[in-house]
Amino acid sequence: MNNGKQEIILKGLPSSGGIAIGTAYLYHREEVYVTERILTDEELEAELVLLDEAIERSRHEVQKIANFAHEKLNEEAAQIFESQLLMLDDVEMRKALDMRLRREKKNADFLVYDELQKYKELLGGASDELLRERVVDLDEIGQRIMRNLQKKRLHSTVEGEHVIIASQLTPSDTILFSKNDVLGYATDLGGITSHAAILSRSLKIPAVTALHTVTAVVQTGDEVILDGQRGLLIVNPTQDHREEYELKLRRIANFEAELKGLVDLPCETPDNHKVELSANAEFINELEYVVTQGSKGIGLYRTEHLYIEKGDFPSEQEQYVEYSEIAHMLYPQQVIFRTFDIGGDKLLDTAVPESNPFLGWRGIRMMLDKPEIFRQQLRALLRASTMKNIKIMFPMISGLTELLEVLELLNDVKEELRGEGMAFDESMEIGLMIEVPSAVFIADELAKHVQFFSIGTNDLVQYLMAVDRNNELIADLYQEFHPAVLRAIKHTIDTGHANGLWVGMCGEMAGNPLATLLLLGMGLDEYSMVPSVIPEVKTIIRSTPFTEAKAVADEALSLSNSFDVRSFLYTYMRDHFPELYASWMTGENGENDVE
Amino acid sequence: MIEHQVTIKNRSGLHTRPAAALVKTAARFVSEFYITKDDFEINGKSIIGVMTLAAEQGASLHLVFDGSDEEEMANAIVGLFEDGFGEL
Repeated sequence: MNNGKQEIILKGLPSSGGIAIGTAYLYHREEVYVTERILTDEELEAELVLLDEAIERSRHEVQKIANFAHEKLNEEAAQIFESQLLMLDDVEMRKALDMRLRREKKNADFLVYDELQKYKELLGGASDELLRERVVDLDEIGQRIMRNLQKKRLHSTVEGEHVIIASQLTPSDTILFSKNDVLGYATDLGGITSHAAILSRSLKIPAVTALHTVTAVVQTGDEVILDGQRGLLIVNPTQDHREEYELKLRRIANFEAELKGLVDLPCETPDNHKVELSANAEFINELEYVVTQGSKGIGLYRTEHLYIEKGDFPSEQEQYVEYSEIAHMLYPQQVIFRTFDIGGDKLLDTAVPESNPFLGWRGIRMMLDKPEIFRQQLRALLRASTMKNIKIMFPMISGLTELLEVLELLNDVKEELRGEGMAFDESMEIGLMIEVPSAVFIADELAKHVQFFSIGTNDLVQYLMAVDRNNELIADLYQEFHPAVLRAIKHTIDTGHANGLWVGMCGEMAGNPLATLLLLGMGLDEYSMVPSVIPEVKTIIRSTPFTEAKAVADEALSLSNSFDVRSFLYTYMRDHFPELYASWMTGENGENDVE
Repeated sequence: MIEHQVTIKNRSGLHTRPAAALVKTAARFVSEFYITKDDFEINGKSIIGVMTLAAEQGASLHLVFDGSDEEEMANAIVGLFEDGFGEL
């Protein structure tokens, strides 16, 4: 399948989710080159007219893209092109060009190049990623004006379905390719917050950036797999990897078809035990998909991306606009916002390097040290709650003092809003994530102060097992079916219920169909997962009586090691859900060993 | 001629959106508008100029308005800074 070529796996930054399998197309932007020339007096007058026309034409081109971004994408995307329009209209640039044309009598395309070079040098020294992005924007408009001055046409169309490989993509490249059948983007440069990455996400096109060497390694026509979830580009994939990813793609496609039949049916066992299935989400443009896919709202909305995209904490107003838009889109469904969980693997650029970031300054610990920022987020969330479909939960709570401190801050903010006559949902439910082992053992104390728990299994497992899941040497010790993990989950659910709370789960385990019955039998009330696994989980729950699920959970909890638990669950699924089981068996190969 | 000293209050400084808001507001007036930061002066009606200021939160800027509608212009522009460009 890979024609004997060596498989190469490149690791970059996951900049836009999704998977693409196809052939690579190595894209070199046609750079416009200029040569310096002295004009005659007649040529000079014509050159001034030419410059006018070229800028006008450039404006027209960018306006078209801006309109597209406005109508089809979101405001953030449109803003990128609005800014480019302002650059094209820049008075100082125009003044300088006119003056230099008359004084130096040189060709306009050379002067545009030379003038922009000056601005780029002024900006180029900046270390700030946002400023570097502006250099890309300046380059793009400069190239556009020069191309129009030379009356060349842009050839950025690509025939057929390809994964585009480029050194760097400009905002316009990203949009223009998307109008063809582009499958994905892989670039040497860029980052999660680059304009091209922001646009890829709003276009729902998978993208991996910062691959450094991709244009040197990949040739047009090479077979590639682009994994936008994990930030990988697999060049000349082995048969195994190809099959694995084809299966993933088929699952995603099947899922939509399956869901059509399931979407309106309640998530209920044959003996009428109801649970809720909701989705994990991070970006506002994922919501349209979530809304149509039949989840019961959002069980985990991560707010960190607001910080990551901006490179700084967003203002109360920016947050309010986003949170209320989400609440409106989902209404009458519910959305649970998790307050900023920065630190750990979501690195803060300016943070002091920590020798142990996962045990360090992250989540609620950081927010309590930055009360001004935390208050703004709480104010924004409360203000967005007037439709009564918002809940808030706090990450990384490890003890009662922390929780009480958080709740005091929350009450203070509520009082402040009342004083300002601002409306909010007075009966809003507040919850906390159970992801630090200490919280499991004092769940009874914590439960007295909140309305729900949400179990974050990814961190809970790594903290319980003392295993960094990203460390290859010990990754096999990361076991979500370890008896200690199961007991911690059971204890959390039981304690929550005994105190009148409902208990959900938002870690990866909630979306693992192998765990579905076990969790159902333990009494979990809500599962929050990536939307694509909802149909499988729903099918399992709708076909198994609650009494049966309880028996499965009891059996699993009686086993003494992770291997036995998994074998028991696999056997059960093979006997009761042979079709699902068969699809896992092909998918399970290398599910976790691509890296 | 009117002069004002302002401090950037909004956390992200004069990044893409505030810079665009500033230049668009300035364009509504005929008066001239210059911004000085650390001896570096730019035309406040030029987006590229505003970008090259790289003005971050806390930066102190000197604004000069000069022309027939300088008063209205100063009110509008200083208002934007005081309001933190709607990001406070």
